[in-house]
Amino acid sequence: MSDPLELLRAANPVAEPRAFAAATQRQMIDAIVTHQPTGGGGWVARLLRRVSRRRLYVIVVAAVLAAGCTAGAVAVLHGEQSAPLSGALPGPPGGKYSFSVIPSLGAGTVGWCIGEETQTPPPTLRKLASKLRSDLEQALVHDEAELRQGHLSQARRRQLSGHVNTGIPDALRSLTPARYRSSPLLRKFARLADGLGEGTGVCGEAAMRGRPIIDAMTAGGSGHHVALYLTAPDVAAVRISAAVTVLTAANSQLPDGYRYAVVVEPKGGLGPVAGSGPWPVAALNRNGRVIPARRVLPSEGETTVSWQAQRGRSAVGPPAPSTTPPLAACEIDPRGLAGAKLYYGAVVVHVHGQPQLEGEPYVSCAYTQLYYRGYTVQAAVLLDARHPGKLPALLPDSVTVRSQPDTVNEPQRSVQQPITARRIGDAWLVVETLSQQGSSTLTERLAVLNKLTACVRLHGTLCP
Amino acid sequence: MGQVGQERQERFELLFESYHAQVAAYARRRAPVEAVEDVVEETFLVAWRRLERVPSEPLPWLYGVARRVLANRARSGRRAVALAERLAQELERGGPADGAPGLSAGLEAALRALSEREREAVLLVAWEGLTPSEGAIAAGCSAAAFRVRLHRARSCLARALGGPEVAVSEERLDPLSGAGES
Repeated sequence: MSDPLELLRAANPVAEPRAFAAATQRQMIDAIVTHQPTGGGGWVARLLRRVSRRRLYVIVVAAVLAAGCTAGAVAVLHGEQSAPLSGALPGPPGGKYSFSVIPSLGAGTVGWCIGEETQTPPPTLRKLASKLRSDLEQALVHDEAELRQGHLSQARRRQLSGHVNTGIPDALRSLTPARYRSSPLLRKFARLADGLGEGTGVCGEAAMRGRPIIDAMTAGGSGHHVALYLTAPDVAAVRISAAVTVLTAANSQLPDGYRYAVVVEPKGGLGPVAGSGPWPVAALNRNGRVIPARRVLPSEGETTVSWQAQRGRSAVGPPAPSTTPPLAACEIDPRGLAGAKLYYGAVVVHVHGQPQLEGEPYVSCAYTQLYYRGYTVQAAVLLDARHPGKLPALLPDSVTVRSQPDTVNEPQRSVQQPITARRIGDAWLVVETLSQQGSSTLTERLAVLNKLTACVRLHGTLCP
Repeated sequence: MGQVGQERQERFELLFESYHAQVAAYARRRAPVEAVEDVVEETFLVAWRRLERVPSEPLPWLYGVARRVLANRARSGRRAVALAERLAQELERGGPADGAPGLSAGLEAALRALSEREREAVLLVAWEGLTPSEGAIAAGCSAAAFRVRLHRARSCLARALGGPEVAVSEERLDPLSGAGES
């Protein structure tokens, strides 16, 4: 058996995949499915059931308006300031979180994707660090003269314990005895532990009447959590409990005048509010009144047809009906990218528009994934979701590319990859390009974007 | 839940039940056992979010997602965990740690000598049982690029293990080779 592949197969550490127990499978499926953002209505309804009899934490200050205007009562909203979109995690020092918002590129989808990145040593490392601490303690007992009595002083123990619970890299650097400090392996571990991070992204919904909370997402590991609430422009605060109200803030990174509230879980937790968030909230207007939320079904989006360049076995759902993009409302033409290999995508058959939406969200009319010279390229055509055919809004937080006035670039935020977009009539042609090394440069994205073309067939217009 | 939502969830449950074991095995081969359930859950969370984008042959796509999930848990985190494990063993026993379970020292050293891409290519074929076309989807590259990586990896492994250069026809590895590729 000299073929290395055969040797590797024989050494497979997990030769036979094993299914999780049925109960574990059920738990995981439920956790995943209930993690789906359902808009603010669900949370608000749950909250209203829970706290409808509680006193609002809004202090009403009566004020008579001067200058002969009608006298009235104006409520003054009290609450904590929101934490920033990027900042330090509560708990052990060194933890960081970051949130970002970009348009959803999936064909037929309307709305925004929230990305979250958390940098904190994961529990696995904490456990290992705890073991390392024990080993290092023993090493110290042997190595350090002041500990020859065979035990650590109480102060030293507290110092060790504190370091290990709060910062692994620091603990390793400051407590490692000489013989371990000289170990390249240990130095490498400490360096890597510095950069530990993880992140996820979810794609949600756009604002519409009856949905003041557009989406929410939690960052944080096993310690304290931080939750982002993306809200409609008229939301002045979110109330999490009788004791916790957080004021919303504006930010140029957010679309359509959306506001946000980042809620940091306090040390003692959020009292009766259970779980790791996002916690149920009520949206308050600037007078401190609850903005009514009604049950809003998640948008089913536009009808799409998917395609896949290479037909595969159909294991879940029907196979893609076509191996090439079918004729539809929008078309992405990759022929300018010599040697590009199409992978899969989807197109919207007819774009209807969704005037019930608020703000200026986009609808993705076509989505294509392809490979080109070592890059995985995702391309999409974005239209104005409310009134397709109208000039769509600028991409949030984007800047015009100096050499190409019809092109904008949105830099990388958090875990979201940077995107670059060019105006094609009344649409944006957007690309997100990923290389094996990770995220791409603007030059690399422009090289792809400038060779792609797209067209939109609305109101009977034809593509060239 | 409406009928569309119900159908969507049923489709997802079928996806999960059909493939979670393979994704768990993929994660177990590359991450500590404590992280496996997290990786599976996060991979299928992405699949749930993007169910409409899951291709009709989902396993390579799921491996690709799991690969990015592992990378997202910090590109360096995976190595850090492995390093920490090795370090813990080293400190415990006062000597260097052994290789991965089931791997001879020679094979492990030969694997380590490969580039990350080549190692992933050869492991996707040897351990996950993918064809090069499927492996290309999981690795996020073209099938041609994947075959080049695989060929290089096998040649390097053969040289490192002191055996003759391996020349195996692609057809034997990939019965679908060439079929349907653009």
